[in-house]
Amino acid sequence: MPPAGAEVPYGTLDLMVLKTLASMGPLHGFGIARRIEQIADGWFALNQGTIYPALLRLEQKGWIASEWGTSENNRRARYYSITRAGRKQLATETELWTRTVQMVNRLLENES
Amino acid sequence: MYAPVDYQQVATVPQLRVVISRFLDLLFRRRRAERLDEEIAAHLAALAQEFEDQGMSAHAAALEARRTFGNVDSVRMLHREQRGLPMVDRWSVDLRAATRLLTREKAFTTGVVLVLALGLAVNTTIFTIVNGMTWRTLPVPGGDHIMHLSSQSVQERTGMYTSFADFNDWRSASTTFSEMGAYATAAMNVGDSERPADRLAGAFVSTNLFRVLQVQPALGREFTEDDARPGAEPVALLGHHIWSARYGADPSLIGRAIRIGGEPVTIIGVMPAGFQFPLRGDVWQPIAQMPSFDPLTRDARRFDAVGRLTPKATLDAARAEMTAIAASIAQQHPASNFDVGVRIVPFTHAFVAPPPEAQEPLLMMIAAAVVLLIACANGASLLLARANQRAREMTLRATLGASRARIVQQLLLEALLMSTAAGALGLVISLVAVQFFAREAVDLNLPYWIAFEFDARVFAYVAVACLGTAIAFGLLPAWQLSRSNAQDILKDGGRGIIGGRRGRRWASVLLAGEIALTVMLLAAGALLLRMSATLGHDDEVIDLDRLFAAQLAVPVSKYAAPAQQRALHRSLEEQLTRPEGFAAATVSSARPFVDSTTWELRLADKPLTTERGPSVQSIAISPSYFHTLGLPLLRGRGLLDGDSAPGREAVVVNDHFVQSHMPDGDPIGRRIQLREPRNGEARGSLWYTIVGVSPSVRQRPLSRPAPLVYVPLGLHETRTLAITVRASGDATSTATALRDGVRAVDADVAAYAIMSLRKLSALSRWTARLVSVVLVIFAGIAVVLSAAGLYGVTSYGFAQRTSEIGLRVAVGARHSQIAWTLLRSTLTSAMIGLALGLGGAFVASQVLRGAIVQSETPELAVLGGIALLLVVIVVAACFVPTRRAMRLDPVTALRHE
Repeated sequence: MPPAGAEVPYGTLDLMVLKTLASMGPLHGFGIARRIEQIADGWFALNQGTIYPALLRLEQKGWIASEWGTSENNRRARYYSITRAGRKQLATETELWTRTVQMVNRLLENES
Repeated sequence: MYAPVDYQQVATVPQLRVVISRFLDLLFRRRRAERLDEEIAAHLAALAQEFEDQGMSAHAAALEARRTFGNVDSVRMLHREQRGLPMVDRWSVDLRAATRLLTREKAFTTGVVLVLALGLAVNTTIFTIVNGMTWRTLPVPGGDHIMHLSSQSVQERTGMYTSFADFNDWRSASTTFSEMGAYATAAMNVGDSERPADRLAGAFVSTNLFRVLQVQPALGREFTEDDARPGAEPVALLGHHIWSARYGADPSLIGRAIRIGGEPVTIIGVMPAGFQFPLRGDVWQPIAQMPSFDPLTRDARRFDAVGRLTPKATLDAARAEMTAIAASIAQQHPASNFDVGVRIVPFTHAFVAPPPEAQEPLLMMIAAAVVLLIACANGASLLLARANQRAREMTLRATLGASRARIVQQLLLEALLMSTAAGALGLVISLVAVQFFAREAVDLNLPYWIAFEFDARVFAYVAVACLGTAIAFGLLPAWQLSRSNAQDILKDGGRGIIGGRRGRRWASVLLAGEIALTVMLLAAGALLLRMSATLGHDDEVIDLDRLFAAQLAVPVSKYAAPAQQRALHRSLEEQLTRPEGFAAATVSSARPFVDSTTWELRLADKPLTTERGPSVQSIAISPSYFHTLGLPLLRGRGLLDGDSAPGREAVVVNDHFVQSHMPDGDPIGRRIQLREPRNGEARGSLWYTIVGVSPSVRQRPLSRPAPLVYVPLGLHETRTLAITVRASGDATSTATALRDGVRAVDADVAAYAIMSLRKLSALSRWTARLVSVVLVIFAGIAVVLSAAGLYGVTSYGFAQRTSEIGLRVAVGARHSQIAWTLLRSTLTSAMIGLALGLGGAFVASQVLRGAIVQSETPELAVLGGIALLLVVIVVAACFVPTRRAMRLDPVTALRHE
């Protein structure tokens, strides 16, 4: 088990955001950060601010879309939702991720 | 297992999206930033709320929220880098700085922009004109694939028409052309029972010709193979313009018969509006209806061909293939086709050659480039003069760590900004100039596809010209400025070394170059102007204002026999010289100034020493020619009716002929022979006896009078026929009387292109005049630019040396001494420039010699005048600033900083 508070591995944040939006539906930035933190359950520390550049990156690629809405406590908030292209990308990346993990696992098992 | 994932493919499409999105961010940068700030604020508020709900104080909750969120500034920065395009960002910073600077120094910027705008306007105008004249393709579908094919002498590279027999072989043997058609232009007299006949430009075309061009009639049907069968009903297609102008766009005209050349012809269709062929033709008939059409004889050369290249074929491939085909025809038919090859060019180039083949446009483009060069030198001197002020700024930037490349980049951007503004202004100026030119060009009956408009090519040219200008005028000063370093500045007591020796040396070089180029332009303009004037002066040998000439369109079938032709000529002259008509009238094969036939000359009493005899021009005339033109014969007599009688053929030659070929002794009674220049074959082996000598009249558009032989009409087939009359009325009444007189003889004969010989003379010198007028205008602009540059640089230089001048005055220098000190370097470089320019003018005149017309070297008087003009301009441009310097109060001047 890794030490608590390790950084989120580079490049996985985008995948996590996509998956979160796919399973939870439209969310604002705070909601997405909260959800990822819940799942990480202390295994990883998330600098919550870093999800904003990630959101912009995904939006630029057309994988998520955003619009203004009202949050639970009646504040104006930007809501993000996954697009059709985003779902396709999520499927691709999920498969890639699974294979990468399996490959690395096999490699590590053989070594030990 | 798993199908391999093509990650690359998934990634490519979003890449483009990212670029577009980043680009859009440039425009909405502020909105994106505000949005982020709002989201961050909401996020922090939500976090803080949570911590407060857990029981923290408001202050501690806010701190904890910030800690959980991470560094707000670094998030902002990451976000910003993800937005926009970093390189463009840097540019836009420079751009804003440059714009601010240039708008602050309004006078300076305006000066540079105006100078460059003049140079760019000149270039844009010339390019637009040349582009409109020469680089256009036929406006039909796939017009760039339409080629013009004609025969040519392989050895002499002279073009000729092709025969229908050759054309048929070309067409069936070629694989590089998907379709090939033939045509022969003709002047067609269109008449009908209701309206007087009109002479129209038209063509006899192969029935597939409009399929080659892929143009369908707008109304009715196109030609079919049946229309070319022997005995087929004569048919014609009309152009849209004639159909509307002459027949009021009456659709019931289709299927009706009109008369063309006196024969009834059924109109089967109307071509679409805007279409003409080949140049301004408006009437088309199948080749089979052409009078004395001979599809089998290979010598019957009356056609040109039009081919459409297959999509894959290149012009070079077509040339190679057609050359081989022509060679095999020549082998099979040596009698008719020896030395006959094929010439293939893009269709429009067959009529208006593009530069560098055509020298006039090339010359104008070079002259325009010279003007731009002068403007650039001017702009550069102004930048150099200002450099002193900016040296400190540049040094500061360099000290703060700006690389030299970055400084040059920034200065070049300033230059580009100014040249772009100049380019835009230049476009506006040339819009006016081009419109003016287009109005002037209406008289010239240019081919229908020529249009002077600002198309994509012009805009691309302007963009490149702006970029080139920015580099040409901005690079040297930028490079100079970027060399300034802190040490220099400190050593120079904060004044900056740029305005010092090095900068001034460059300014002198620029000044000398500018003046040299100006002198050359002036000399070239003066030379061409003089040439054009000389040609006009030569033409005054006949009474230009009272003589009018017209072309005659004669139906060939009606006047096939020589006897019929002679009868027509005689009745025309008789009809027009009736008591109520003209004082004199004469028929000839060509009008003065514009046309003649070329022959190879043989002299009976002088055996050839070379393989070929000299070439000589001729026109065929009727006996009344010299009387009508008012040309007194210098020796002997004019031509008489009997001079075309077999065995007694006589000619009159002009005095240039005598000077060139018989400078010794009396030409009267000597015998000459005129041979076909191409194959040396003598037409009928006629020997002519010279019976008279006339003054010289020019018969070629752009040359001084040359040796000319006047032969009697009727001995040779003449392609064209003209009539010249001596009138007392104005142009309109003369044209009416002439047209009516001709029609009274035969309604199927038409007189057209009626104009006074003065107008014809001017028209025949049009290119020389155009080029010379353009060059003179350019030279005028160059003079203005040079004077302005000189003035600007001189006053700027003086302003910088104010304290020095004050010191000199204070220690007792006389005004003349100060003036000399100040002006010495300027005058020296002006004189060097003048000398270089005069030398260059001689070189330029050698280049011009033969390029436009045979020209003389510039006369010393002209060059002297130019030199004097330049000296006056230099002195005038220096006078005002010098006087200002003389009046300086030494005390004020010394304090000046």
